[in-house]
Amino acid sequence: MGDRVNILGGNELKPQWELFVAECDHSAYKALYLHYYNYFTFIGLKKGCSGAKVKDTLNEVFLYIWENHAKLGHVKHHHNYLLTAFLRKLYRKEKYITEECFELDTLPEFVVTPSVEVDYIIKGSQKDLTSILNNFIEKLPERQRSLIYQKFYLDLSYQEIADANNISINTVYNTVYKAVDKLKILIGKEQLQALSFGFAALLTIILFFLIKQ
Amino acid sequence: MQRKDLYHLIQDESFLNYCFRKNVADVEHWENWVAAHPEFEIDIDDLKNAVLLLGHQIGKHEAETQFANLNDQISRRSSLTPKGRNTFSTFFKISAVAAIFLMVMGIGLYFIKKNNKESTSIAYAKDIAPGSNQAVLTLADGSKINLNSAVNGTVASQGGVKIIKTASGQLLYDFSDTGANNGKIEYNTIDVPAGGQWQVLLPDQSKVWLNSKTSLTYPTRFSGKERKVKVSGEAYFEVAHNKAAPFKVETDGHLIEVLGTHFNITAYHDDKVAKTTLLEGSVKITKNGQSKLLKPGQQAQVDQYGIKLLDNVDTEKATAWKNGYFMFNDSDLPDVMRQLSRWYDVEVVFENQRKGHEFVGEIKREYSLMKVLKILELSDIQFELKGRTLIVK
Repeated sequence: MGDRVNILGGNELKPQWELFVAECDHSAYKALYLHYYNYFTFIGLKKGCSGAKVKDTLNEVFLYIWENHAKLGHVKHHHNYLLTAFLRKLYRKEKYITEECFELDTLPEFVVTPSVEVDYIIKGSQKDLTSILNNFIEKLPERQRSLIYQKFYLDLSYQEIADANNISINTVYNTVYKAVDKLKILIGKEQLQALSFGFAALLTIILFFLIKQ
Repeated sequence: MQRKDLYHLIQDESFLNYCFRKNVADVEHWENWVAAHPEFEIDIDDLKNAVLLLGHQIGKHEAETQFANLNDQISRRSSLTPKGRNTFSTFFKISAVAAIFLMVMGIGLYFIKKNNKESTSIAYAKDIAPGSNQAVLTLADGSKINLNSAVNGTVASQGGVKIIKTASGQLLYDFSDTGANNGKIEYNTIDVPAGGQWQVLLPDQSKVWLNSKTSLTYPTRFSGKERKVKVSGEAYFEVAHNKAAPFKVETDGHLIEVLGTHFNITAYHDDKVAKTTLLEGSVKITKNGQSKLLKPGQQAQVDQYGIKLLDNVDTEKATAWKNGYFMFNDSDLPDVMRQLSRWYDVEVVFENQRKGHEFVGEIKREYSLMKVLKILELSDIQFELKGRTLIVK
C-alpha cells in the first residue's frame, strides 16, 4: 500500500519527460518538478543536509534541465538521470558510475499516502476542512511550515528533523507544538464530527481495496 | 478521558507513525488501543484523517510554492538571455568573462590573504564581530591588568599567590608558594566588558564563567568558615564541594548560599529581576531576611519585592551562553535584544512597540551580528545598524 517511489520507478512520468525534452513544455516540466520536489527533499533531509542546501541543489538541477532540455534527448532513464544529478550536486562528487550505483541502492524508501485514499477523505469531509487546512498552512510562519512539512508529509522522525535542520530536538517539539496548537483551535469539534461521515465511506473503500489485494 | 485530551496525539510520534503506517510496532499498538477503547474509535479516526489530510495538503502546498519560485527565476533568466546566438560571439563573450573572472579572483585572493589574520567574521566593513575572551583584572593594590593582551603564564603574584593565565579565556590561582604573608586577605576583581567573556578557576577550585558586562570580586585565598564572592552581571558557577565552608555569592541586594553545586546567576544592574537557575546540588537565596531553598531545575527570581520560585525551568536555556550559543525559548523581543546588546556591545533602540513576538531557536555566539540579524529577520523584523547603534523597526 502507498506509492513507493523506488530506484527503477518513476515511469509514470516518461511521457512528460519526453514532451519536455522535445518541446520544453511548461506543464510537463511542472509535473516533473512537483513529483521530484518531495522525493528529493526527503532524500536530502534524510542524509542530514540542511533544508536550504537541498532546495538550492534541487533548483540548480531543474534550472539546468530547463535551459538544456534540447541536449537531453539521449537520456533513456530520466529517473536515474535526475536522481544522479541531484545526488552528485548534493555531494559535489566527481566519481564514476560504480559508486553511484551503490549510492542508489542505499537510498531511503519514500512512502507517500496514496492519493486515492486522500481524495476520499476530502470528498467525505466538509469542504470546510480542506479550506481550513489550506488557510492554516498559508498563514504558518516559514519555520513552522517547514517543520510541519518535514514531520507530516515527509514523515521524518523528530530526531532526523533536528539533525537536518541543525536544531535541538526540544526546539522541534516546541515549534511543532506551537503550529499544531493553532490548528487544534481552528478545527474545533464541529468539523471533526463531520469527518466521521467521511470515515464510514472511507472504511468501505479501504476494505474494498484490501479485498482486492 | 475527553475528546479534547486526544488532540495532543497530533504531536505524538508513535501516533503519527500509526497514521502514516510507518512501523509495525506503533501501528499494532494503536490498533490494539482502539480495539480496547471502542468509544474513541471515531475520534481517533477523525484525528488520523486530519493528520493525513494535513500532510497531503502541506506537501502539495510546499511543492507548488517552490515551483512558483523556480518559475520566477526562470522567467528572470530567460528575459536576460537573447535568442539566436552567434557561436563565435558566444565564445568571445565566454572567454572575456573568464578572463575578468580570473582577474577578480586573483585580486580578491590577494586581499583576503592580506586581511586574514584573526578576524572571526567581518563580512563587510559595517558588520560587528561577536564578543571574545577579554577581561580586566584588578589586584588588591589597585593595579589593573588587561587579561586578553597578557601573555600566558604568571600574570601577577601577590601575598604568595601566583595568578596564572592558562589559555585564552582562563585564569587560575596557584598557592604552591604559600609561606609568606598568611595574614591579610586580599581581593581581586575581574571586570568583563560588553563583548567579552572570561573563565576563572577560584582558589578553592570552583569554576566560574563570566558573561559580558559582568564583574566578579573574590578573595585571593579562601580561609575561615565561608567562601564569599560578589557578582554583578551574569555568571555560571560550578562550586567545589566543601561542607566546612559554604560558598556565598553576594549580588546587588541578595545573597546566594551553596554547598557544592552548578548554577547560573543573571543579575544585571539594568534588569529589574535577578534570576538564579540551579542545575545540580542545592542553593539557598536570602533577601531582606526572607530565604528560599532551591532544588535542581528550579529558578529563583529576585526583585525589589522579594523572592519567587519557578519550577521546571529550561536549564539548558539559562546556560546556553557558556556553551557558546544563544538559546531562545519563548523569549520576547526585548529579552533577545538585551542579550545581543551585551555580547555585541551595541546599543538597541526600538522604533515601534512590538508585541507578541516569541522566539524559539538557537544561534551560535560566534556568528557576526549581521548573520544573527539575518536569522531574526526571518521572523519579520527589520533592523538598521548605524555604527554601534542597532535600530529595531
